[in-house]
Amino acid sequence: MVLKASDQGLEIADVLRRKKSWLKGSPEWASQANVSVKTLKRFWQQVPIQNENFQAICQVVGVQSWHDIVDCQNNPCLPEVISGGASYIGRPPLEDLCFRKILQPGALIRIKAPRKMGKTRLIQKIFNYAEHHNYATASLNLLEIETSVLTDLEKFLQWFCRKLSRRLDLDASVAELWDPDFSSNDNCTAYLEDSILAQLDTPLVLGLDNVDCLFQYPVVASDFLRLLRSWHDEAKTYPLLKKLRLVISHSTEVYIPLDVHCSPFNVGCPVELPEFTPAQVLSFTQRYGFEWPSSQIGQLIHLVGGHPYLVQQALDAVEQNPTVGWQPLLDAASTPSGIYRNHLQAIWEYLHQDAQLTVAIKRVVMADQPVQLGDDEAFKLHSLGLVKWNKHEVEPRCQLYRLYFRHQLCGNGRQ
Amino acid sequence: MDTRGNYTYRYRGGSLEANDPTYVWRPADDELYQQLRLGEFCYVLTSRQMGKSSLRVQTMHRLQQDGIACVSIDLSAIGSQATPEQWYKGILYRLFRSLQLVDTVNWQTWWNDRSFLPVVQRLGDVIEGILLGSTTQNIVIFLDEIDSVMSVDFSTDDFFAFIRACYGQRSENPAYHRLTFCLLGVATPSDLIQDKRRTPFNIGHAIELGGLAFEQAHPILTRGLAGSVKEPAEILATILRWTGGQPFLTQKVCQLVVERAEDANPNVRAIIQTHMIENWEAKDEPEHLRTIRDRILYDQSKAIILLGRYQEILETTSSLQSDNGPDEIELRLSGLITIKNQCLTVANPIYQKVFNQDWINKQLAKLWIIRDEKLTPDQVIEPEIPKAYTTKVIVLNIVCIVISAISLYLHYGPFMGEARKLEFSDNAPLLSGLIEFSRMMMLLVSSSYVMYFVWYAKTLELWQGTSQKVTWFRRTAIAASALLLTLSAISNFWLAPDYLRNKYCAQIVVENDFAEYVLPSVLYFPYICIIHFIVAIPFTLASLHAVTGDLSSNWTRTIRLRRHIYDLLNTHVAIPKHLKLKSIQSLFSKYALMLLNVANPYSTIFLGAQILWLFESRFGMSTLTESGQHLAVLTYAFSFTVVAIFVILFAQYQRAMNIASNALLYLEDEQLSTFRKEYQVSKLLTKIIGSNINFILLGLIVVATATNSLVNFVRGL
Repeated sequence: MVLKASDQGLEIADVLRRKKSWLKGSPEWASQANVSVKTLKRFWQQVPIQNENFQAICQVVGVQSWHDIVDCQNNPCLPEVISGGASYIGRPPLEDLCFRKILQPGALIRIKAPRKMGKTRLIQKIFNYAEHHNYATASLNLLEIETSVLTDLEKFLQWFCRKLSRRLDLDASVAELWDPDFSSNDNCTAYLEDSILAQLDTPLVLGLDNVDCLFQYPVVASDFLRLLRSWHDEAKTYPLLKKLRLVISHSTEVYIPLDVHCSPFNVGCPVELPEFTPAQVLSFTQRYGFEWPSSQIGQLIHLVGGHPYLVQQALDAVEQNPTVGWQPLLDAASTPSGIYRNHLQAIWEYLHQDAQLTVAIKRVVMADQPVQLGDDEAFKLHSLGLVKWNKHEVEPRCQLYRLYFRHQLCGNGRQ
Repeated sequence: MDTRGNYTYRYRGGSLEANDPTYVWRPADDELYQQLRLGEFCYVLTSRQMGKSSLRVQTMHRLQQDGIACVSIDLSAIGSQATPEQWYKGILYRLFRSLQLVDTVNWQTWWNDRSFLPVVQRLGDVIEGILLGSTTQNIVIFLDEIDSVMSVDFSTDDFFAFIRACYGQRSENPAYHRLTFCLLGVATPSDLIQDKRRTPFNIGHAIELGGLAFEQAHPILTRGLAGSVKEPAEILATILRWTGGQPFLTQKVCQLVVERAEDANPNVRAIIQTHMIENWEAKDEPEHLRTIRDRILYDQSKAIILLGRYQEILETTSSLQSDNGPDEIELRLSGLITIKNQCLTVANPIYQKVFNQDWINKQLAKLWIIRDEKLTPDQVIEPEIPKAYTTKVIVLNIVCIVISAISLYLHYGPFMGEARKLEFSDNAPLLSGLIEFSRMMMLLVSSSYVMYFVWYAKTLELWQGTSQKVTWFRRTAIAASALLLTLSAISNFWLAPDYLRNKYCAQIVVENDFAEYVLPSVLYFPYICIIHFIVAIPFTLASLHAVTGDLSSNWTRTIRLRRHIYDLLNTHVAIPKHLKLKSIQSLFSKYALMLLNVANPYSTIFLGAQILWLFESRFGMSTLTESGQHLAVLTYAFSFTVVAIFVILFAQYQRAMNIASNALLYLEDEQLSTFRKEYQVSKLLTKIIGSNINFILLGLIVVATATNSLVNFVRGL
């Protein structure tokens, strides 16, 4: 299977690359990803390259999910698993709820879930539906913004307007229309109304993915969230804003910054993504063309629960390496050389920054029974998607985490 | 009747639409409507999610049906970074936009033409000149999210004064009768404007927005319940008892009951307990309880007082009279407490269960920990010493040792002149070299260890810091080095050879004057330089820097401890006694620990200096000239300043100890005597001496002294 990057994907990769101060054909990058410099150059030229190489290039540079990078439209040989198309695994009644909401004037849908739970794909699904109704759609991934833009409200809002116009193939003369006599927020509203919504005959579904990237920049985040809130609120009175339908996704790892002098960002319709049910996992395996006995599916669910990304990784691995048996793959899964190494490593690094959380997770994974934690720790670990509630107590979300963290924490303890 | 399928309870942020079927009428609806119709200035200032914005939407709808033009301005949307000009212009923009006058009137030209006027006056001019002139309708301007004026960078007092002035001008200009304002938000009037003479709030009408009452909620909210429960009215009454009529909570509990009811006779208490109170932080979506929590806790210094006052209200079973104090108003604005029959109570049983005594204790404990940490901000964790740095120090030491070894060997060995041999005739020349070498090793290694490792951060600051103190120190170091270099050059190359020449010219025959008198000095010079410029000057500066820094920071710590304890005793009356006791004890134990950390290196240095002194007095003096001997005695005597440092530190410790024990005495702590015993000064001394390295050094001193006396004794025999 071969993949190539989309234009938007290359922009993301470019920003991340610059953060690491790598050149486009950096030998360091190539060697870390275990590919040749030539392959790396082909990646930039949008020439299709091998799936594994593509993923490695993305992972090394710090892309959270390579699905954001890959070009889904012009890639005939891409399985639909990735494109979120026909083989999207529905989680009823979530989708129907979103579909109903998106048709309402001034709608605002907030999708929140831990990382890799399928937020981006749900947005994609909503977009497909909206396009089906002939709505205009535009999606902005806030991951691709540079840090310098995130620290300046005016720059950020101009970036937002420019990007949005380009996505919609509208004239993007943002700087000329920016009137310094008005606040940045007002300029942005005016631009949205006059230069975007008024130019469109149909409602606009605007997707903002990875909004959590903003949260660590309170200078921009609080004013931008107020702006979104006001658009949603004013849609009740202004006809033009009724055309705007917002879909926002943010991961739960980071809190929305709360400004006590302003209403919290709790408007709109919140959507939380649950895990796959066993039946959904079954149909997922069937999409891959696997005929697995229920015992094998049981093993997978026992290991990773219904975590969409982890399930998919397992299925990908089986598909790509049919020669490696299922049992060895399963046995190695929780080790640092298993199929989940990157995912586990990322969580481990995140946890490691917070000594309190590390202690808390240690207590959770060491016990065979659910344990009681402090409110704060339990809440944070739950937001990270690492634990689940069992009445007052918490337990690891899935066996994989329990095994991996046990190994990591014990290993470190002995040193 | 509606079935449960197409009836949803609304408990999102934002407002309900005018025609929303779940809107429950309250007395405030009529009051606000009537007052605004009369053209009165009204304000609805109450806690979050009480339905202010929904009330605004409903009222606007009713007023519009009466032919009154209504404008709603969300002040938070202008943004917190706007300049005054942008902010006022943003208000006008919204005003004309929502009256759909943007294209018909040219208010921007009017605004720009008056750029010489203050912005508020320009706002007034545009409103009077254009807004009131462009329509004959009455206009009501709703300003929502009024508390966002507290987030902008400039004073908005003028804006509130302007609102008041609009009412003042009614007698002169009747057109102003057509203009009415209504403010909504979460704030007290005095938060918004301080000036009593300019505030509009004392000419306005405060609208009290209460909870939902059963009579009004009954036909509306029971509709949604009817599909799932047998006795919807009874269930609703129970729900309202639990929520105290708080609109958000009521709607949310209704929805929970519809979703979670196991049978037609659901247990409301159990549902609330499981789905709302247990692990409430995780289940609070959309945020409601968390906004209350954050509002109380965001200002840490205020939070302790608020929690104390809240605890009082929570505990009191009898009626607690409202005193309208700032703490109480802040609590009321958070929504946590409310006034019922002129008495303060917790707003509803759900809050009572979520924000219970246990929660208060946890928060108070946490707040104290945070403050305690402020007492000892830095130094708790010493920065890690990089490997490369360690290597550099070791290499430096080795290089110095090698150079001095060569220098000393050449000086005392092959090139030592006859005159010098006569001058230092007590020891064999090479033995003298060995003694000097040992001294140099000891000085170099111990001073490097203390300077580069024990005082790692301080030394780094001394070399790289930019503060006035260290720059001054560095300059002094350069000046002192230059002076010392000149002096030692003069004494080595000129004075010392001269002295020897004069003294021994009669006794020895000199073939080559240079080789006899000057060359040994030249060879000796590198060793002198190392002792002076690598050991003596840097170490003196580093110790001065460390001593002054340590003493002043300890002084600050003592003062802070005192202020902290004073605060604890006098200001925060509401904190329970056991927390105060615990806090004082933990504060003091931290203080003692910090003091111990400060004192330890000095005691090590002192003991190290004593060992060196023993060495010198036994062997070293003989290698020095008379003046050199005086200098050495002076240097080692200097190490006794450490004693002075200790006296100061102990005096401060004693003072802190007295403060803490007095506080404990005041609080009638039963464990006072244990506390005093545990922290008495002698214990501190024991701890200092008992630390590993000090113990070893002390042992060495004892052994060395004993050996020395023994040798002297044997010699005497």
